[in-house]
Amino acid sequence: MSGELVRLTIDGREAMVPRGTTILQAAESLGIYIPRYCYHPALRIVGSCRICQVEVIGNPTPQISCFTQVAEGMDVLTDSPLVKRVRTAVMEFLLLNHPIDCPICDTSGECDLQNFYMTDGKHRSRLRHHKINRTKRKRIGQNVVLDQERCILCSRCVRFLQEVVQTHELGLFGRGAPERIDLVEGKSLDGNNYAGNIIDLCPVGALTDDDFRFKFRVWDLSRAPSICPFCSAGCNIEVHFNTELCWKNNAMRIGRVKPRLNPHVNSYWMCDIGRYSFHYTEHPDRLKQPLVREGEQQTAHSWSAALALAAAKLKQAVAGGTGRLAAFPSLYMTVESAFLFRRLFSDQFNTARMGFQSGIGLTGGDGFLLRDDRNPNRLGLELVKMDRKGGEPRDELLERLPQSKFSAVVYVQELPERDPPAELAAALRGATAALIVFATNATPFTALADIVFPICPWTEDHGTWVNWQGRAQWLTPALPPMGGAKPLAAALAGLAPFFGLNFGQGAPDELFDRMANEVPAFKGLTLPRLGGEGAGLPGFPASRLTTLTETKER
Amino acid sequence: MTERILTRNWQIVNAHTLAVYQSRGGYRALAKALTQMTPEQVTAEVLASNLQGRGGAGFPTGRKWRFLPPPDGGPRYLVVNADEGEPGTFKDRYIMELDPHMMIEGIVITGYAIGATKCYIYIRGEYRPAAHRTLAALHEAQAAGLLGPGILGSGYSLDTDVIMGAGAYICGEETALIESIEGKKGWPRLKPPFPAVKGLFGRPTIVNNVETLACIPHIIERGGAWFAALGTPRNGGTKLFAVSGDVEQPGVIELPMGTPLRQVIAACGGVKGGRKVKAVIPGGASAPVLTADDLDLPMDFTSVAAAGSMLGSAAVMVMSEDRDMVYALSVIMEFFAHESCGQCTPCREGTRWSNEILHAILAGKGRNSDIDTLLDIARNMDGTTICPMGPGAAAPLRSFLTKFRPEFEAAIENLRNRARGEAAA
Repeated sequence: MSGELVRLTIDGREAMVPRGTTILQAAESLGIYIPRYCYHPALRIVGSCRICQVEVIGNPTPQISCFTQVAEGMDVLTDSPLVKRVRTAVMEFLLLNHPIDCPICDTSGECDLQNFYMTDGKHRSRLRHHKINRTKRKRIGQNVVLDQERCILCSRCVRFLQEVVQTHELGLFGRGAPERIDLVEGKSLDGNNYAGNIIDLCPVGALTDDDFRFKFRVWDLSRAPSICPFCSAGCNIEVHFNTELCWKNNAMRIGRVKPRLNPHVNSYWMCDIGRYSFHYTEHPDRLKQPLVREGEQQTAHSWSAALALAAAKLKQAVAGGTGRLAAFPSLYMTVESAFLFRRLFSDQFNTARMGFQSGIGLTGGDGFLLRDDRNPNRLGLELVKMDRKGGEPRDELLERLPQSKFSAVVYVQELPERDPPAELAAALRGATAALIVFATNATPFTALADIVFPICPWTEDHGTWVNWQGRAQWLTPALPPMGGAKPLAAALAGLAPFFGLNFGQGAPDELFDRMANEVPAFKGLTLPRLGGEGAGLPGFPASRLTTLTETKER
Repeated sequence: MTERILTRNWQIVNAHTLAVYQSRGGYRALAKALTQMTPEQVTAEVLASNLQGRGGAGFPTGRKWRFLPPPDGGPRYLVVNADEGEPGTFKDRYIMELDPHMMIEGIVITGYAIGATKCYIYIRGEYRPAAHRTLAALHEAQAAGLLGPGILGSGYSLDTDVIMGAGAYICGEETALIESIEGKKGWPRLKPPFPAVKGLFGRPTIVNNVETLACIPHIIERGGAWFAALGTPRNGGTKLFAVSGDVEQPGVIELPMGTPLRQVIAACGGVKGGRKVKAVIPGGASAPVLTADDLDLPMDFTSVAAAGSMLGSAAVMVMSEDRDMVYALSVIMEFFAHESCGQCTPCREGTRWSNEILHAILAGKGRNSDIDTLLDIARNMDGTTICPMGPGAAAPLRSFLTKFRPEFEAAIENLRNRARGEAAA
């Protein structure tokens, strides 16, 4: 291809594109959107749906723009009478055996049959005969439901499973109009961690998501960019939510999570672990107010009261350098929170022990997206240098807490299911003066803490995470904090004045600048540079910063 | 009657054996090609013969061979298309059953000309006797040193393999055939690249029809100019016509290119029962139908194309005056609906839809608007598909409906009235 440029005209507008570009891509560069079903930029071109046909002057037949490459002097029409006729024809053909059950179809509202019917169809049905009956509501994976009648046989799902994850669960069976997509005999998508992507790929309602369907109509959903926290890949995602119609969705504001394109991190994809693990962030056991233990009861307090109590307890417990502090930062916290945490605890109390090198979730990476390390920001915490004396594995320090006579424990929850058992908290009662917990969700462990601060999970938090590649990515909140929960950074900033430190109100951009100023690894980095695709930190090899997959030639 | 070339051995007992084939002058052309000619000279001779592909497209064979890129040391393939599936066509079957060595001799000469390292013979699944004869002949040829390593003591070696199809019409399309050999579902590929550049297993490949290859030994033995002179100026040689339908003596008949249609029918004993011709499909089901007005049409690729149809595989289907065109078209469209591979939208949906409409008409449920709907479907399948099957299904639809429109209009009306009458009674 050698970057040689070709000049062509599309709808009377001139374009200069590299040789080898397809007409569809060239049109896109001019902002002309050509409809497509089977075409997907990350999949092999099959040219089978025919909706993308355009007229190339001098060519007696229309050409498929997804496959036809540009040529010097080519004159393309994407809106001529011929194009209109063939596209309307394709729409008519595709709808012949489609049930047109939009009112009960979950894809309604984001369906390309609907979209292109409005732009390129609008024909009256001429069909007077029976449509082909096929299998409906077939569960082909944990959350994937197939409706063969709605399928237009674009084969995107089949190709994704063949080409991207190479697991080959789906195939096209039979031929002619009764052809259908189905599971290959003896195979199932149940164990496939990437099955959810075929739902995203399906341009119609043939593949729907059982975790999401019938809970929201898609036009009721807002979208916010986010980053998946469930492993160190840091896949870029989009949170789809509605804060008002949650009664349709078990009171949850989030409807679903979808991948967001980042060519350096996750391309168009994400894994099912990331896709279906968000529910805890909207669970009824979310903590909504600071809690302070009095006797056996935890009672709700205001933030200011709880912060003052916590500061007093900490000062009292570690007064005079005799008491010792054990602090447990979380690998889910942002770099900014980690910076504050270090300044507050590690730098303040030279007797502190830091337990953060969690060994939890260090298996199961697959060499594609999912990493062994199921935490979003281990690298970030390492770069902040949480503990100059070298930390200690979180679980080991937790285990020896009752024997080690720490006078105070500060604990930040990672995921609710990772909290230690209630017995540990009970055992600390006699030995430790204060157990102060920052948590998103109530667990048996937090229920026995002396002070509990309700913090925001990733869906409501702001800040920087560093993925395994060494790519710093900016996390923004998709939702407002639930109840009285606050971002961890804001909570820590609220504690700081008691120790003579001032971090303002903990505003995300201020904190970032402050952190970037003081942590060498982030020197010179500014927020705008983090936007979009994130920024590679110095010292990490470029090859690692741009590879989707780890090592395997897949 | 002119000289019989391709059918010259068909009435000889045991012509399918090597001994008889050789006693009739077989494999002399191969010896000539391997010992006296360079591959380039063989190709030049084929070019001079004006031989056109006999599978249906009629593309000049020599030019097809010239599309091959220069040798790069890697494998390149010759694929024999013996998946004779076009309705009405049964000429290749006769060659393989009665005279397989003529095809094999053509294969080896062609392989030599194009530098093929391996040849795959893809035989239609239903053609078991033809496959058995071909296999037996390949064994004989190999044992006699006419195939395999160092053919006839020359430096050229060619290995062959017989693959049986599984009954899909679409696998006669050369790229679907290649996919099928590769073990995949028989779906035509997007072109370019064409098989000559990137074909079987991603390597340069030439796909030739059985009858095409059977012509090669004669061209080499007697010269391209001689072969060209047998036919019309642009269409060399003789042609096998598979004549069926309402003729007295249906079968395969060899006639020079350009023989008028009337003579082709006459050579088969004329129309059955002395009736008049109503319609003739000149080249298999996907060729537009001709009428009694076209009987003087010279049967060669150029002339039939000029008349708006195509010579195709030269499967001539004769329909006499008492044939029902609506029923005939419904049979053809049922075939296409059944055989559409299902890959691209217009053909997959259009063939079924038109079949449904035609059957509704036959059931007395037709509407006057159906004819225009069918014509629309034909137009929308034509030129909008990956492979020629879309246009191939559109051709009979459009030609039947335009040339016999009054008959369709009457049938819709009559069958509907009859159905209503039956319902009332």
